[in-house]
Amino acid sequence: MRKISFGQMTVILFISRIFYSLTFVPFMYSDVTCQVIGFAISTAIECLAVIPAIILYKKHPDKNLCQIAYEKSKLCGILISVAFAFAAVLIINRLLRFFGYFMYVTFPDFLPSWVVISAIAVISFYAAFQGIEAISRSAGLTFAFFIVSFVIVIAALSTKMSYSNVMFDYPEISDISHEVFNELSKFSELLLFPILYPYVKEKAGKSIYGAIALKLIFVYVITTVCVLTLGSYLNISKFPFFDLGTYAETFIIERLDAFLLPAWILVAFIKAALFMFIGKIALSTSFKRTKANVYLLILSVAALAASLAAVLQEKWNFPVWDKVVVTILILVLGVLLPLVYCFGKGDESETE
Amino acid sequence: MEKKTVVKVNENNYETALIAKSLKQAVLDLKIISGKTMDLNIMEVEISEHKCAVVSIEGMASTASMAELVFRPLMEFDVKGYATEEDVFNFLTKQSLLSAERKILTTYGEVFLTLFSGFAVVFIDGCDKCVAFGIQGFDKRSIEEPTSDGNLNGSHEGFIETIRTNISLIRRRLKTPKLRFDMQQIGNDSKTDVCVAYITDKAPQGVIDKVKENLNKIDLDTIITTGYVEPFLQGKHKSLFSNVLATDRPDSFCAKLNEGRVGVLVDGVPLALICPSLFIENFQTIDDYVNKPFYTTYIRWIKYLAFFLAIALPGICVAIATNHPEILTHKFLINLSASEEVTPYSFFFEAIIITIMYELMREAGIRLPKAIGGAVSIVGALIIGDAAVSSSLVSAPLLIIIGLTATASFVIPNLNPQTSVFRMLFILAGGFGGLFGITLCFAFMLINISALENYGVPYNAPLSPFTFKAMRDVVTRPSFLKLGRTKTIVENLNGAKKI
Repeated sequence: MRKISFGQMTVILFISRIFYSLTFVPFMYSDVTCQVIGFAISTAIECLAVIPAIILYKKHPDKNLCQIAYEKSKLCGILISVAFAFAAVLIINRLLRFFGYFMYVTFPDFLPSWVVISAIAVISFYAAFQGIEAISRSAGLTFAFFIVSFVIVIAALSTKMSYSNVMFDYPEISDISHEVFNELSKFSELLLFPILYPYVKEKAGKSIYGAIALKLIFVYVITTVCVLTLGSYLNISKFPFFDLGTYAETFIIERLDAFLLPAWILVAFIKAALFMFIGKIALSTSFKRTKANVYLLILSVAALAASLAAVLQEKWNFPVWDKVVVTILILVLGVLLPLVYCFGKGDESETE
Repeated sequence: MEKKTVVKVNENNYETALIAKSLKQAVLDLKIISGKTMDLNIMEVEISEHKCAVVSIEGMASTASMAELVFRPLMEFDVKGYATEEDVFNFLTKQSLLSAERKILTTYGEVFLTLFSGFAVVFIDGCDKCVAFGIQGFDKRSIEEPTSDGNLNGSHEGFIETIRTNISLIRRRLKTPKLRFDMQQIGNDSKTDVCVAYITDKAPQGVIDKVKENLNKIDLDTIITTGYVEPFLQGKHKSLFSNVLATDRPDSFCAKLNEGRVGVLVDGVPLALICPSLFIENFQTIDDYVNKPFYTTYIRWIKYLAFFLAIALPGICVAIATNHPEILTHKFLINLSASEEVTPYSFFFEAIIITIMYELMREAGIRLPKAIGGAVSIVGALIIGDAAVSSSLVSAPLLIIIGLTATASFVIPNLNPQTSVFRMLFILAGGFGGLFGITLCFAFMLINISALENYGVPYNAPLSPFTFKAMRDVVTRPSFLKLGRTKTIVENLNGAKKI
């Protein structure tokens, strides 16, 4: 099996996590105090939620969750594999639709949204086809590019930040809980980890904590920059992070969204590729007769078709059930099942 | 060896056929096999009352050496005391020093291989073996300055077409017994000498074995250039980039061998292949290790910028001018708009036309003789630079962009094929998809590079997977006081697998 390093795993989990962080900060219902508290609580819950998967990894370092389930019971293995594939399709669908919406809102006269999501799906398919090593190496370079562009944008905004933009309010418990749920529903890396940990050479457990820590630092930085720069404009901004780029200006170019857009697209395609990859691995674990890349093609086409069906009708709002189903799948596949299987007898090999 | 009858030997079954004992039959066999080719010289002589024949290929063996090293000692040889043909054979092989290189041959296959390598072969009547003497004397190019990888301060010697001269150029620079050259013949018809070079305690044994295994898989009739061998060394990954580095510089070749790489030399080609290679090595030249580190560091960053400009600048400009003009400053936008107003076509279409014209000029400049090649540059400069702008066919800003792009692409000659193709892809992506298209094209390139690995080493190492120590020679160029202490063996890079 081709292996990746602990650092690469951290980076791919972080890249996958920040896709939604780049699209957040709708302060319509929640003020900055709620968000800051919400991020901290959700991060603490995330740290606890990954413990079963980490125990499972320590017991079975060379087998993913689907393999473990399949060895215990074929039927369970098949059901879990299908559930993983379904979750992967749902998450890719959400990602593609979200991206289509972003392009529709920010560049309305530009490419049609169906072209945008189809192109991202094709490139992601190509990346997933090349395997986890290619994805992780691309993610490493994307990470570097992302950090550089983010730093450039922040540096360009430094003169526009003002403490007068900060507005604190007394936090409502309901708003905080809403924020926590919102954050947890985006924690799809809980699905990636139980499938990807056999690909990590060592310290796979630490990699997910590393990714969570990086994400927390990043969301606090982005929130601070957004608040200090955009102020009350945050209440009406659909994509505050992107607006930062639009607002940033240098003596060479008028707006720096040109830096953020590529970073965002790269992050999106890495995330989509990762979920296509885990869907393929999950299905090929239980259905061994067909070639794994056939599953990859099926998953990609299914996710793209679902997205196209919504995008062509310009149905941009995600139904509530979509978020609920994804959250349930994350909890069941990422927390509950690892918890169930970590009580079984482990493999002999040592990892950390 | 499988015994085969020597009767009715012909051009199809000669390779393992044993040499006839009778000289008359052997000479006849040689004529049949070669189809009485005019360049086969057979000189029948008598030594110690034994009939012998000295066979050579015209133009391949040195006539002066043949006269001095073969004919004269043979003719001066006293017959008395040597009764049998076996004694003559023993004299030739054991008691004389006719040439530094001497081989005993038993089959016609070996005879023709050595003949075509410039040896003279002596047949003795009544003896089913013959002796070959290395007296190669074919014309060859003298050692000259490398043409594709020029430098200012390093060595000015380049590889030539003769493999043995190239081996001597390497051996002169690495005087260690750990440097090994393993020669083999590849090509069913051409029997081209292909040499695998490595340093035993630096190159991983797995890589050496894999390279040899890959070479043995080559089932081609001829090996004319390194391009015939390269795909077999590259592995199964389909990529626009090549993970086998080609160099015409012996000093670069030796530096890579010292880093644990395995080199492949092909007879008849003034290039050597190095595997595995890294993407980042396309930006490194031998001058980097001659100049002061601060200057090299600066130039390296210029080269990275040059690569970016060479592939993406026209595409990004097309994307911004066509789809995202709001990014530009007002003054820039006004100037661009004014220059574009007078041209009949869109910025996007102009970029395609100028890029194609540039590629035409470049290709013509390469293929034509040097004297006329210069004329092409003048015509190109006149047509593109003056006439196209003055006739308002293209705008002046675009011309500056393409000119800058072309200059940037010359900075990294190793990546010229890739930059040419990606430049056009980026223009198309930028024109149709704006910055979104550019990013997707970049993502495709990223995956294409990231998926590539050779002999267990990722092509984009040490960037990703990141190796801190090796990155010192990527973002900077440390002094040899530091560089010399750290062995940058590719096998030690993060992500590299032992094979």
